[in-house]
Amino acid sequence: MTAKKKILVVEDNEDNREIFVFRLQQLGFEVLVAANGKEAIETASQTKPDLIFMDLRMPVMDGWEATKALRQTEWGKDLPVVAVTAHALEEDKRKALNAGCNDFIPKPVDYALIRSAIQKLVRS
Amino acid sequence: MAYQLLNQNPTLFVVTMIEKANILIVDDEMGPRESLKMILKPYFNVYTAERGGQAIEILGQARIDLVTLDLKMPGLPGTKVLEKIKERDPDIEAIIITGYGSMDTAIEGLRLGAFDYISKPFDVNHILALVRRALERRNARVKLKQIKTEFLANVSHELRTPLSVVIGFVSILLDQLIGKLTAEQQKALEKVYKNSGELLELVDNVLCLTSLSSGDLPLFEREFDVGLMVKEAAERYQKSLAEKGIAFSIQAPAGGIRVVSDLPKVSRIFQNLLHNAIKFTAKGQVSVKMHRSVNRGVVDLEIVDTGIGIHRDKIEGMFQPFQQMDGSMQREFSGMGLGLTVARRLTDFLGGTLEIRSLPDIGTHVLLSIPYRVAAQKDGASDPRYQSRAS
Repeated sequence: MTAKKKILVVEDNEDNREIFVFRLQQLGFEVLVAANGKEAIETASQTKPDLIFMDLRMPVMDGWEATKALRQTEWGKDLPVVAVTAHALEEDKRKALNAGCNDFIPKPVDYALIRSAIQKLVRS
Repeated sequence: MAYQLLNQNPTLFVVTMIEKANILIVDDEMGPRESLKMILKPYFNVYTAERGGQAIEILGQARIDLVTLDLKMPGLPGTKVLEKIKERDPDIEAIIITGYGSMDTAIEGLRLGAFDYISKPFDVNHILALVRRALERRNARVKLKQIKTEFLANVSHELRTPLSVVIGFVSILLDQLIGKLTAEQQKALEKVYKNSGELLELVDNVLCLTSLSSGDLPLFEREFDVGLMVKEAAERYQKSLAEKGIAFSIQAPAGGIRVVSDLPKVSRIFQNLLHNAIKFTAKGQVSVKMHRSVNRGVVDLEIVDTGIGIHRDKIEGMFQPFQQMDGSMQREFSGMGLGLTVARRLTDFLGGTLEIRSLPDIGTHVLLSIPYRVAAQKDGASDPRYQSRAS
């Protein structure tokens, strides 16, 4: 039996974070959490997750900035990052792809979309 | 350091903070063109064009804030040039330069959205004052647009965040991850789930319509599979389809249909159409067919239902976009107006067509045709249409 894949959830809203954790644990992943971009980079540098779900609008450091910073590091340049956006506005998504996100999914997070994003981006 | 500089020398601060405006002088005569250039050069970045065609070319390359335009030119007429400028970006200001007191063309220019006109030979201080006032108007408009966009983004975020928490937890409850549900509890939660989903859709549609009306909706093109989009959109309606006992089918070519278009917008259009098809079908079936028409450069999406249908005379009325957010909108909300209005407006935005054929009590046939590009570029960021808006 191989080790559980690690997924980092970056989300400032505590309730939304909890929903994410529920869903990912149900899918059998080890889940790490961070409340903003800065925490995300710290946690990711220590734990090297297999994939990051990154909220975009967050205090302290937003998701775009965090993804850009991640792409500058040796360990983070190829790490799959999926932007999670609460916006119907597409400008946010375009900016996310430009910042280096691999994909994006809308909020409220859809169980099926989470699963297919992971299947696409994480090698089993 | 920068702060000290500001206190000691406020003028220097202003000069370094505000970017020089870009002005394009369009005049076929060398004399007025060069003298205007001399006047403006110390304060602005100046571009010049001798012909209308050349002016349009420069507009595509540089971010022009203001154009001075001689309306009497060989080749493309000045009024046509002005039309093209305003088409490209209505916030580009234009000052008409007229010779021989030709008032009628100057007035035509004003009608087309020019800021003002000035007659040759012009006074230096007069033209500088005009240019500065026009630029002030442009800056105020651009600023307002930014504020509007930012406001919409915040409203969207604030409305969707609590809603997504509601939907997220209800779906966790419904999937019985926290505990077993009785049949009654399950039924009640399904109603919460369905209604919060509808509220979310409504919020998205209102926001979408608002950004369409304010005219600052960007085009966002990327490659995607139409079949996959349809499948993902349909998944959201599995529950209501099952509840109603309606048969649902998707017919797609085996290899999928990969296109370059604006996925979020196409998906919203399709979702609104599918939503209506399901909402107004009590029994029978809803089916979706798709195919690519290479000749017409479009993807056709057909949505056929066996629902209540609608009388022919009423079809056009369903599309009537409301001109303003007044009381009449309320009727649209509760009825079927909003989703269809958004679908039609977004389809227009993408340059597509939307046709509805319907017979009362027999059903409705919707044909959506969306133009697509062939996948040549990697993503929407390199689309020139996009760049001209984003800059």
